[in-house]
Amino acid sequence: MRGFKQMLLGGAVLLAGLGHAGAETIAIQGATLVNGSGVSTPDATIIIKDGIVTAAAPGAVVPAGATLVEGKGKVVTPGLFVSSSDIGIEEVSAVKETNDSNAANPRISVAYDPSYAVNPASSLIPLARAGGITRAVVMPAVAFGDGAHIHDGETAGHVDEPLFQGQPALIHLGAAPDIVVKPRLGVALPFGESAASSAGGSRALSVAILKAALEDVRHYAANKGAYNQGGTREYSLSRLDLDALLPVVRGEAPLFLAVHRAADIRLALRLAREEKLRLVLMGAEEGWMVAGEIAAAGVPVIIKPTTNLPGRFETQHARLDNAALLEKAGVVVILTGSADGHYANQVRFQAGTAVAYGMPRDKALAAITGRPAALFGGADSAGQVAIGKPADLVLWGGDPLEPMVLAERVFINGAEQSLKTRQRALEERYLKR
Amino acid sequence: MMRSRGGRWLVTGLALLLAGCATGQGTGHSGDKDKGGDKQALAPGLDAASSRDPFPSRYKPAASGLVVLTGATVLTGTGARIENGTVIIRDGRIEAVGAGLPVPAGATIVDAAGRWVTPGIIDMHSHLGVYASPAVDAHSDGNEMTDPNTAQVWAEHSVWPQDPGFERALRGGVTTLQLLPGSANLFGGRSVTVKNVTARNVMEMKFPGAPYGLKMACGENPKRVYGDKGRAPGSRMANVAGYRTAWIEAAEYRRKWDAYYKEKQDAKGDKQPDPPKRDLQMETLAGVLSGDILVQNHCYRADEMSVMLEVAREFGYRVTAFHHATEAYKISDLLKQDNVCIATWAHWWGFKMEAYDGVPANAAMVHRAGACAVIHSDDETLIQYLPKEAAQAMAEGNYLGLGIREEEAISWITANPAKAIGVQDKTGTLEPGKMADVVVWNGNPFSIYTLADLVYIDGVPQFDRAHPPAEPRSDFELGQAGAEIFQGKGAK
Repeated sequence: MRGFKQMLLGGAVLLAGLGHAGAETIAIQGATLVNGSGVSTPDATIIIKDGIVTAAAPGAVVPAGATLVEGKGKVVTPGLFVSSSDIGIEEVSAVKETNDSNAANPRISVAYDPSYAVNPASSLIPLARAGGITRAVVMPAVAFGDGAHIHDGETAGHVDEPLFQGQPALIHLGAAPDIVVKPRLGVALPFGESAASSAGGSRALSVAILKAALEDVRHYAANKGAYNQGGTREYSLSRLDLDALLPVVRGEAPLFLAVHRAADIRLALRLAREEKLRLVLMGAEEGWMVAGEIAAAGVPVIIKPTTNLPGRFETQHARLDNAALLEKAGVVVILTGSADGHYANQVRFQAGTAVAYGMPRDKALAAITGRPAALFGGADSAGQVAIGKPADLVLWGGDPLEPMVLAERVFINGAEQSLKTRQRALEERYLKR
Repeated sequence: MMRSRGGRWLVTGLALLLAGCATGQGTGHSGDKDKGGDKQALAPGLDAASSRDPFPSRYKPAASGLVVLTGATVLTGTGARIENGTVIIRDGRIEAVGAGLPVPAGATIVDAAGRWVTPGIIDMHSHLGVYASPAVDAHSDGNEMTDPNTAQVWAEHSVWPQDPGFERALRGGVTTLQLLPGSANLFGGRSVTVKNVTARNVMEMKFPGAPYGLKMACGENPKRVYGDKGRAPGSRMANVAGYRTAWIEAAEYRRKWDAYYKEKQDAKGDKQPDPPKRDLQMETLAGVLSGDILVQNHCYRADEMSVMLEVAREFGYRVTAFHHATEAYKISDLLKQDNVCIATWAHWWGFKMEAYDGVPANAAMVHRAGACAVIHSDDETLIQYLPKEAAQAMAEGNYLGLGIREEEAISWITANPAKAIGVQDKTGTLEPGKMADVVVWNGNPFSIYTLADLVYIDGVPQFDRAHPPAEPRSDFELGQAGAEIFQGKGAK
């Protein structure tokens, strides 16, 4: 055991030495940079000066006094995204007091804004961060639930939940008190079996409810003054929900639609055309069967590539090369993993599995870095290692998609992060025992 | 290199096979049927002595012939790694494993150069078949949440062999599974161990000679499920009272039957005694006390696992394995001392309070401390990626300086689960005489990119990635309209 103890002590010293990046220049030399666009640059020198990337190319001149980091055989990527998660708004899933992800209030459904519930001190965040995740989309929708023991006597029912599920928010996972990057990215709602269940027992009802809501919002927008005087007809949504749905109706923000079977995907595309809505598809397990139509509509998809079972009738044709086939058809593919924030760090293995089943590796990396950054990030620094931007990147011990490889250095918004987690504190306590 | 010891193995193997049977005897032959003079013969189900194995394995592997895998990196499951390894399979069994062995005449040769060979993957915690896909209410057959003690139910009576999950697991290299009832109850019922083969009923999958397990559950689930119904157990202390009460009853039941067996043995001529009335619940518990049925105990917390070891001591049985065991790393020494396996994940944690202290290095820490570690799935997707899950545990262990090698980590999903479900004498390693449950991978199985090329069960290739089956294995997936509808190829 003595050997382990010494190693641990060494590790502790190393961690203590990291801290946040102050006035310091770091040069990672000889690593392969796989940037957010999916373009690889071998033997790159990445220089980070006072938290800002000042070089990211082969042969960059290293300033005197820079701390050198050996990058040979290693890979640098932008920080990874998990694009549909409840990280930040839950601590222990089954302890409801610690879990803000199960909002179900009929008067505040579209308007539900989980960014107010984000807890930067959650123990889930350092674990994700140590796994190279620097951004997360807090998604108030049950698009990618899995595992986590629903068969242990709980039911996963969603009857009586409102149809609309609220507004996703982008957060960063740096150690900081304010981690919400961008709230209210759009509006999430399910489409298919679970929507049918909330709507009263048929998909067709959920479509009617959605159409009525859109019509009400348009009417409300044109008659706000009258509404505030009590001078309009009754709307199907509360005032808060009407206001929250306005950006979607105006085409300023997308609908994040959790949709699964091919027929429902086509229906969603049709509705978006008819109602002039921006759309992002989530799930899209049968997307490969209608990939051409999704590509033609220019609609991005957020998918979990490991789904390959007919868990529901609407995912009957789920298969492991869905990501590869959608990519090939020209769809903007974003990869994510379980919606359970405890497993945010698994997103790189989801991408690896997509590669194992035919997606080009660099595209799969882009699908967890640059592409979600472009969709969600706006002016945020994430998703690209670019000169002049705050460092938001990860140095990996090797291929970032391999489970045997760990993140070695993580920078978020220009600050180097500790890789200490509560899990590692527990491991070290019981190794020393 | 290891060679079969021929005849000696056979004898030992047979003895073990019999010992491994559900209740320690062969199937259905009481030999007493015609005795008892003018008394009417009892139906076998009325006398436990003549109903030892009422739903026997009817799995009969096809002939494998002679197959030789050559040139592979072989992880044997025993801790060895062999480069340029040869694996010789004859008549469904491993005949020899070693570096560059001579290839016997007449063999089907599989060139595995550049590929890796491991024992078939064993998932000792699966609900495939009992919570089948699609996960509709009609398929929810894994948890008999009507009483805290349902030791009388048998998972095999819920298994739907058409669950598409079996075929997906096969592609992930899984050759053997223990299918368990859920964890709502203190005593959830019997598990069943199956081979991952096409079947019309559970008997055609059952692993020949595998012992039964008894699913027990600690902690939150039983106390929540019954506490919410306003009945016991509603607390952890009532959980333990429930186990102890049941063991006391089971011991009494066992004594009653032992007395009957003795009386029967001593009886002469027509003085045959009447058997006591069977109680299926007590029979399972008594099977644990006699050592024939293995305790498979769902338990997360270190303190609770420790208490369960004391309960086992109090009533004279063994806990064979703790399942989930997210805090096993806190009590590695106790687990080693009592020779208990733990089956856990690398990445699952935090889904409930008792799983809050789950850590990725759990299996690695338990392993390094000298106890028996297993990576399990408990999930129809994760079961397809068990080597990748083991890789995460290995990576975190090595971050901590534990120096876990691939040839060790493979045991977490092969030899160790075989031990934990009582089939270690039959499968789980590539040793002469074992069932030829073997996977040929197209690379290092711990790599995310590596896929199973060939999966052999008893020497028969059940999956061949180069020649995928033209039709789905599950009847449920056969003939379902799909892409052709949407891609304009549907019309005749």
